[in-house]
Amino acid sequence: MTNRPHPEPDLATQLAPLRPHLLRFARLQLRNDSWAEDVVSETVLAVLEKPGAFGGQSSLKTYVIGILKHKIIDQLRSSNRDVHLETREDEGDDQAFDKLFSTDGHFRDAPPNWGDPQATLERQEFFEILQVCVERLPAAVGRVFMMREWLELDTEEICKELAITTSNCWVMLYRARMRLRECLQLNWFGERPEAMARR
Amino acid sequence: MNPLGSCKDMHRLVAESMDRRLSLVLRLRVRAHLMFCDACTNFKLQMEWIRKAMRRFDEH
Repeated sequence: MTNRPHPEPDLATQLAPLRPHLLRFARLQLRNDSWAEDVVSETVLAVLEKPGAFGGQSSLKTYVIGILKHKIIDQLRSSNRDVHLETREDEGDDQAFDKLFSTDGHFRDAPPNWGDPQATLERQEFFEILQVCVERLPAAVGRVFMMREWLELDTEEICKELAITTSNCWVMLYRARMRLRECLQLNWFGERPEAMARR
Repeated sequence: MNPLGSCKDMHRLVAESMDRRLSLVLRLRVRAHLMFCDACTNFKLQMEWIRKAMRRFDEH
C-alpha cells in the first residue's frame, strides 16, 4: 500500500459548499424540487465515485456543473413523457407584447442601449437579479429557455426531447426572451440611468 | 407601408434569429431595417446581451 492520502474525504469537503449552488441551477432548469435534489445527489455521487477524473484543469465548480448539466440532460430525456408542458399558460403574453408597439408598428418606448456587458457581468448582484427574472418565467417557458441558454442545446434537440413542434419551441423562446428583457430593464437597467444614456 | 418592415415585425424576427436560421430574404430584410433603426438595433443588442449573461450564469 502506498501512503498517498485518499483523495475522497478532501473532495467531499470541497463539494459540500457547492451543493446549494448546484441545487439552485437544477431547480431553475427542472422546476421540480425533488428532481432537482435527485439530480444533484447523482452528480455529487458521480464526482465522488471517480475522484481521479477531476484533473484540476478547470475549477472544481466548473467541473461539477459540467457533470450536473449532463445528468440534467439525461433526466430530461428519461422523463419527457412525465413532464406536462403547459404551453398555453402564457397565451396572454403576445397581447402584452403588442402593447409595446403603436398602431403603426413602432416601439412606444424604444429599447435603450444596455451598454457594454463586460463590467456588469462581473457583478454578483446582476446575477441575483437575473436569477429572479429566470425564476419568474412561467415553468414551461423557463424550462425551454434554460435548455437553450444554459444547457446550450439546439432548438431542434429541445423540441425533440420535449416532443413539441419547432414553431411552439420558437414561440416559447420568444416569450422567454421578451419577459427577461422586460424584467432586466425594470429591475436592473431601470435603476442605472448612466447605462441607458449611453447610445 | 414601410418597405423595410415595422419594428413590431422586425423585433420578433430578431428574437427568433437567436433560435433559428432565418431565410436569406428575411435576414436581408432584418439587416436593412437595422441599418436605419436604432430601436431595433438596441433590441438586438439586448438579445445578445442576455445570451452573454446566460453563458456566464454558472460562474455566479
